[in-house]
Amino acid sequence: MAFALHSSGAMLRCFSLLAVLAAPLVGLAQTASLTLTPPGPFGRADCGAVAGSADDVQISSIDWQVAPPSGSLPGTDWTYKVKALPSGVNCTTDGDDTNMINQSTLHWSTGSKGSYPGGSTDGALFLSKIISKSKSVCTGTSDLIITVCVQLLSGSTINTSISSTVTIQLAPPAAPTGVVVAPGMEALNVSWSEGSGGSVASAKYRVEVSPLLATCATPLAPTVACLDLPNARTYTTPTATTSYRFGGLVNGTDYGVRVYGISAGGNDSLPSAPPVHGQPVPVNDFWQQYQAQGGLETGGCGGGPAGLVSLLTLAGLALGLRRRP
Amino acid sequence: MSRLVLAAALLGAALAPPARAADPADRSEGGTGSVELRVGNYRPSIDAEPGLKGSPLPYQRAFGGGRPTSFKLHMAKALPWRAAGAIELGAGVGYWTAKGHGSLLSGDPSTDPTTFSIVPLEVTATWRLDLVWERLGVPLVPYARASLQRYNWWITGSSGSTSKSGATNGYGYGGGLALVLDFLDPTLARELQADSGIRHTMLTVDLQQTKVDDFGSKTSFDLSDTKATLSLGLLFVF
Repeated sequence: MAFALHSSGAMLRCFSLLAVLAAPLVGLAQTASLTLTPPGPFGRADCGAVAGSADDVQISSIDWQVAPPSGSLPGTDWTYKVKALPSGVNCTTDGDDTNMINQSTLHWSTGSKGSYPGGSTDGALFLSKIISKSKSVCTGTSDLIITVCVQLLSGSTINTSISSTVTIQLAPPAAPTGVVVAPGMEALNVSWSEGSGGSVASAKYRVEVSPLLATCATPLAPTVACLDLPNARTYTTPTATTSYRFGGLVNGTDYGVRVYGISAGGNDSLPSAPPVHGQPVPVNDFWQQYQAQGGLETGGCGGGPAGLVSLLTLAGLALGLRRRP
Repeated sequence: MSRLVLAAALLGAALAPPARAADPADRSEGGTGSVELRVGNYRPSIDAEPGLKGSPLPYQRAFGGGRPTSFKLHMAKALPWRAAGAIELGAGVGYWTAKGHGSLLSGDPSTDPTTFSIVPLEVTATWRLDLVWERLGVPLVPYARASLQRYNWWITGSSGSTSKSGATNGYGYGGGLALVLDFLDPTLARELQADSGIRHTMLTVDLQQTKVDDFGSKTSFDLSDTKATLSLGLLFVF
């Protein structure tokens, strides 16, 4: 490989090949697109938020790009409409302005890119407005799919359009199963499996570790009533990993562990049931185990002549390198 | 051993194309030094230390029976005089880590992690019989190497933080065979030398015996390999 890369002719051929391969990608970058920020999916709590409340998800921008309308000339202003459509309504034909979120003009010279909200007079855009304009309701357990659409009009005729969908998940994932808790040093090593039967997958998990109440009659098989939930600690995994080492616990203390699945939209599953008992215990690492089994190494830098000889050799080598041009 | 070298030389002669003899320019003698990357595997002899008790012994208990992969980068400077080949003085640095599990006080295995890591440093003297390639055109070059070793080690426990660290000194010796790749494409080899100064590129098979126990100290880890360390390398001779 080193020889192949070394050849300037071969490198030239490599660059040529890369250029040929990259050409379609450059073309792709110029195709039509519409994106929301954040893109979702959103969850049931987002769907039910009161308009304008702190829980209402703010859509910071809808950014879109289309090919310039056919027949457009420099200096031409085009009307564009941003709409939220119920699932199944076609952006290229929809003429219902009750679905419209915003209407404005696009100047030819600005190209075919646009963004909303973007102007100084544009107010903040919230998810609740997209839901209401699409006449969608947050009921049932099926995903709510709303089409966000931008239409460029020539007079009252739709010339060009672009759309994308926003998904609002209304169903929770299945509760995790098979929770296993292994004792660790001031920690519990928790593993689990994704539950079956959920209509949405778990995108991450929340591990809940609760001390057991002193009144718990069955600490080795705790019930939910045994959990000291006000003093519970939780950790949410950043991905759909199915194990976590929950640290910062107290050796010898009894805990109850539950795990929740969380969908990409943020919907919580029911907790795994029943809670699983765990108790952190002292654990010997390799060093402690070595000592416990009679090892005599004491750590620190070893003695002997090798260190000194090594240093002298390195110094001599460095000196030799300096002297030779 | 001599039979092995002879067999290797014969194999090399068989592999070498006839054009070698007519094109000796890429087999000129000399050189300023070398850089080598090596990959091997290693298992310390900790469990062989006298005085350890219990079963399994602590290294086996924590890390099992495997030989984790080791990496080493070695650089050397050729001395101005030659003895049927290059004599080089060099230094190397490597990395090796074993990942395992801690133990409950009962002795049962825990799911908590523990690691044992080593950064070995070495100073070496190498004699590489370059004339086998440079004068005879046989692309298999034997070499011998002696070294002083210093293994800087550390152990981590359940939380991932270092629970103990130290260093253990020792020595090593061994040798190997280097397959000179130049014969595969002499033209490219010459271009490589002209552009980067790399005179030869070689694949090495290295066998080293180490004795790393602070020269017999009873209060030091025995980090000698449980058997001769076999590693594969890529050697660039400048």
